[in-house]
Amino acid sequence: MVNLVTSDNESFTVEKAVASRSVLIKNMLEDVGESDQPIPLPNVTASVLKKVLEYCDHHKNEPMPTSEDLAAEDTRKRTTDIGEWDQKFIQVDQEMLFEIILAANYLDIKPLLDVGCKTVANMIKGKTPEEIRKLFNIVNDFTPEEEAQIKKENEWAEDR
Amino acid sequence: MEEIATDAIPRLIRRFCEEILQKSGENAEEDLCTQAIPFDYTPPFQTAKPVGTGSREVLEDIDEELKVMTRACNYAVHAMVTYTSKVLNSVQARRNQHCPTYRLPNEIITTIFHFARQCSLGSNDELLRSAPVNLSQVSRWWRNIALSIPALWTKIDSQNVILAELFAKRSKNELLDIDVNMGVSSTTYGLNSIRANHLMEFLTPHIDRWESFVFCGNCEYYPLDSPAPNLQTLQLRADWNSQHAYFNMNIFSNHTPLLHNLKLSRFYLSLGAHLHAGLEILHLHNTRIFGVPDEFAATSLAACPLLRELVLHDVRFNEILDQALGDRPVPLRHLEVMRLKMDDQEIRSLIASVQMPSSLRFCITMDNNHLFIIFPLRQSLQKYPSNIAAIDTLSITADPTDEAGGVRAIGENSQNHMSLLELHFPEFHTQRDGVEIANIPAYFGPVMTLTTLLIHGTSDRVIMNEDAFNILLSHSLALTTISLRSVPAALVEVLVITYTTPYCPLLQSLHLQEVDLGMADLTLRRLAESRRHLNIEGCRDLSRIEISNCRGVDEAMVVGLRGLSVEVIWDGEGS
Repeated sequence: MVNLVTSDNESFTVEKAVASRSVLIKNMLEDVGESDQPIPLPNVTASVLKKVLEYCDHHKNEPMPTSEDLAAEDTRKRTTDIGEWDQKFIQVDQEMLFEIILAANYLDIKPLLDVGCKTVANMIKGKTPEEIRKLFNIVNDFTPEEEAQIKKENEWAEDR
Repeated sequence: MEEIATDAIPRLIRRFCEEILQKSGENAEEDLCTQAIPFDYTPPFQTAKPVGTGSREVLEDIDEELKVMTRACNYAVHAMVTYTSKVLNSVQARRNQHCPTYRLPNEIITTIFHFARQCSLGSNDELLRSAPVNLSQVSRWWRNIALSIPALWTKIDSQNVILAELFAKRSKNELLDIDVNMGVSSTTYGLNSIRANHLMEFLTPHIDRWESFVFCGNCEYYPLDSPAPNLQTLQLRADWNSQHAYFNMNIFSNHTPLLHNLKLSRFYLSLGAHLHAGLEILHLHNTRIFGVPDEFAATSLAACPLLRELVLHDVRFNEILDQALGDRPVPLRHLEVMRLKMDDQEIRSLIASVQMPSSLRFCITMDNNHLFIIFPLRQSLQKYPSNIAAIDTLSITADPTDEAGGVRAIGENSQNHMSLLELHFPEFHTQRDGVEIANIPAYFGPVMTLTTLLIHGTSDRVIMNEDAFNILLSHSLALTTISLRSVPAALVEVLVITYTTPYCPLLQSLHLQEVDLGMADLTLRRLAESRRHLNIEGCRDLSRIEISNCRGVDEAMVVGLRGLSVEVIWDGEGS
């Protein structure tokens, strides 16, 4: 078993197979060897780690992507499909979604990072810039020069 | 001037802000722009002369005042607008920094953008297709990221074709994937003509970056005569008027070293046209070839030794020279799939001109075609495609989802489940095509030995009547397994061994599904009795009958069959 300590000082004891879905933790365990020392995760809060561990537990028996797999993968042509379980798992509020993405990035859990990014991509899909701004609570901060350039781009498109 | 502006305007705005903050509790929502602004103006240039003196000098002074004041006011407005918009931008940008999305690092946003682009590809939705443009217009940060990813801008299609120049520029040195439909219709003819001209004007300078070029439109107008060293896929559909287009013999100066996928539609093709040595996929649709099939094989196909997939649909040759058939067949050792939809004689001439691998999946669309012309019995055995010999299973199935009523006859090898011969009857007619299918064992009899037969019709589509079934069985002596679904009960009757129907003596297993045996309740018993050969040499006893969802079957019938040492699996048992 592996003991993980979050930024808000909460402890999680999990199977090694579950924790090792994180390449960061896996490497740490390999470096440290057999030890009872808790592993600190200063960038992850308890509520987020709980979700991340739920994902890792569900996928613990799946083969880990090898470095060759990752090297051969062309981001441009990767599928945007998300598995059924993963879709339900990632149905969280926007703030938690971004926290999960950040945690997956920090903990180096590539498949979870992909699920998060695909979910955001699907949220963006088919939306106009204004709708995307509204979705993510962003405001238009373009300079007048940039606005003029964008206007030109849109005029070309509308000329069709 | 600048000093005055940078000193005065910030102080002015700050004072307004302080005032608004102080009064924020009172009139927070009030539109300040509707308030009247008191006017108190003292001219900077005072004239000594009283009003109404008519002095030219005074008018000149005031004109000068007006000129100076206009310049000063214009500058004040310009300085105010510039400063205030920058102030607002700065606050907006600072606000965005605190949005949850802005916590994600650039590389994650980049990945999200790639996925967003992937989502939008292949869709007809205009908004989906312009994903890179939309992403670049959300905020400054997103725009900077979008413009720094050349790969985001590599797909140029019909929806963003008007922005082709922008995409070509923003994609920098990345390879371009172009898929543009400029097909003609009465309403879009003029517009598409202009668009196509613009598109080619923007894209031809980048021809060295083309990775895929799929174009439907006027294919003759654009010479495309520069080398395309990175081109892998070329699909051209000459869709401009009722005429076919002539395929440019020197397209891309014949320098396309990476080209492996070539699909042409509505062309006149000369046999001298280069079909590139590295080609793995060649599709010709609705194309006229200036030559005969065996010449086409000897010149064009022989020039593509790596060919894996050959599709010829509605291809017509100049003429057929029967006497030249198969003199020196062209070996296509890598060919995995060949799909033909052509005239019978042209198919015959072509398949005799190429030497196919034994694992080939050979598909023919039977559109009023006849197997006896394609594979004439007088033909010597060596002329049969070599894959035919490995077929031991024939599945004849009606596709219930095919509204046109299509039926497929598929010859397979049961050991490796390889589909070796596929005959597709898109508009199946029982009387005409049922007999054609029934004759398959007759046409291929010299080389093919069937052990398994499946005939799966549907409730509204009868594949074969008993006469055709008689023909089929009479040439299939080695059958050991037969599966019949949704067929007339008369077909089961044909399986009863009689003096006139002594078919398939090796039959051991029979599977019946959705067959109405109500009017033929004794047939199964007679069938089983007739197939008890009692160890006659060269014969096998029927040992197993599986019955699923058949009308007219009862316990007594099943018990009777079991009494004849037949294993019976009946889904109605115990119900």
